[in-house]
Amino acid sequence: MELKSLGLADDIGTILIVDDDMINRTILKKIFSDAYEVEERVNGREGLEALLNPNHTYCAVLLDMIMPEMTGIEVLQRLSPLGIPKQLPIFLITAETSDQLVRKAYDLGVMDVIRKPVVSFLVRRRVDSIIELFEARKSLNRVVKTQQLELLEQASQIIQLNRGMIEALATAIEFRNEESGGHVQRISKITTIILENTPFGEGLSAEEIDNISLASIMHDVGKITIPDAVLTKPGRFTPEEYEIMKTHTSKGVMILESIPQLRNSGIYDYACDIALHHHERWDGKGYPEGLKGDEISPWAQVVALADVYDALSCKRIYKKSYARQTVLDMICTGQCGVFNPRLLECFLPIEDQIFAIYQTLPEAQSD
Amino acid sequence: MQLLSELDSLGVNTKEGLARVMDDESLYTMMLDMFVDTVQSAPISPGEFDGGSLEKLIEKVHTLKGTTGNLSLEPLFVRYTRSLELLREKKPAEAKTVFEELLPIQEKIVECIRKHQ
Repeated sequence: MELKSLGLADDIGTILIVDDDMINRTILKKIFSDAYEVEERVNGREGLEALLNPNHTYCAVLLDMIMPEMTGIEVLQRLSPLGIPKQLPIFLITAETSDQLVRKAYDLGVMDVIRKPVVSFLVRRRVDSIIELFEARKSLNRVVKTQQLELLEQASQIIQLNRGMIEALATAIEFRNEESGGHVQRISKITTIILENTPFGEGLSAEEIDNISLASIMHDVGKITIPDAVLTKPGRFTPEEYEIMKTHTSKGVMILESIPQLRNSGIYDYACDIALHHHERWDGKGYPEGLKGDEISPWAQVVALADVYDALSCKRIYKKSYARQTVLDMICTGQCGVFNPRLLECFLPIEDQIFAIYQTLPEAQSD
Repeated sequence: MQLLSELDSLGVNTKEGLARVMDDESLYTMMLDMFVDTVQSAPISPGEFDGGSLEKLIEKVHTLKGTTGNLSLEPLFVRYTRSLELLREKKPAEAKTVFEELLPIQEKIVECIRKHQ
């Protein structure tokens, strides 16, 4: 049997015969019963009910034309709008030969019209071939779907791996700075909270917010180029040291530009912009370019605020941690540079959510 | 098998009829018996062509046309087919002539089958 050789026979299902004439059903059953399960229905209405059962396992339907209660054409008129003839091969078995009828049957989606009295060998070959075709198509669809799922899973794993590598790189830089490694994670979280929960994130899709959040992790990537003597200095910077420190923004972009794989990803532009501009301030007194107001992108503004909030809330090598209210006062009064007033309006009502991140954080406990 | 050769002599194409049921002789014989039952339990009388429901008559002739076709009872199948065509063309008198022509042939075939039951 050809179906078996294709490995399709095990799940090819059942042939449904819908015919009011017992002799016709007996003949058709005899033709197919050696290779298929066969079910019978004695009129169009019963046939229709069987086909509308979503749990049926039919692989083909042999449908008589003239039957009591509902003709074969009437059955097809009910099945056609549901798209069933496209999923299941239906053969109209009829002694009627008018071109008009045959055309109508094809228009309603029958796979083939078989003349009665049937020639058993031909019927068997024609039905077998079509079932093979449908089953091969289904099988192919299943393979494609499985492969799609596998590819999606692999893509997801790659995204996770990329994210993990980016986080690892950023964390390694923080360790040089003698910080715990949680800073970049918190910046990413705060950025997400602000963009997802306030009008400041309006117009950004979920995917864009996700990309910005990941890009924010790399905001300080340029610090890898800063000498230890400057980066880990406990006291205030000299003007020369400050100038060196400020270069971490532009050098961060150079590092990001040197990663070809990053260039093709959705986070690249955000990452470069944030690395370069997260020390810009609304009044133009930030660095490196002295951008002012809306010249600074919304995401760079958000990461700048998150960076300051985190720096003030946590103990650093060169400073103590500040209490929550002090942090807010310092931000709102511009003691760490001026922020966009609209950003602050959006930030303050949801600051509770952000503060929750710090409540159990050892380095955030104020002295 | 004697039944089959006798039917052949009456013009029945038993070879084709058997092929239709994958050469299963017992099934073919069983179906011949079913044909006899149908003819005897719901016979068509020539009088039905003179009046009454044309639709019902067409239904009966259609059934017998199908059965005789399936069993390759050729002399009957050809005539039932013609009779049905004429009924559908609303020519019952001409259909009756064809039907009356087939009745003695049908009688002989039924008798032959019954003899071997």
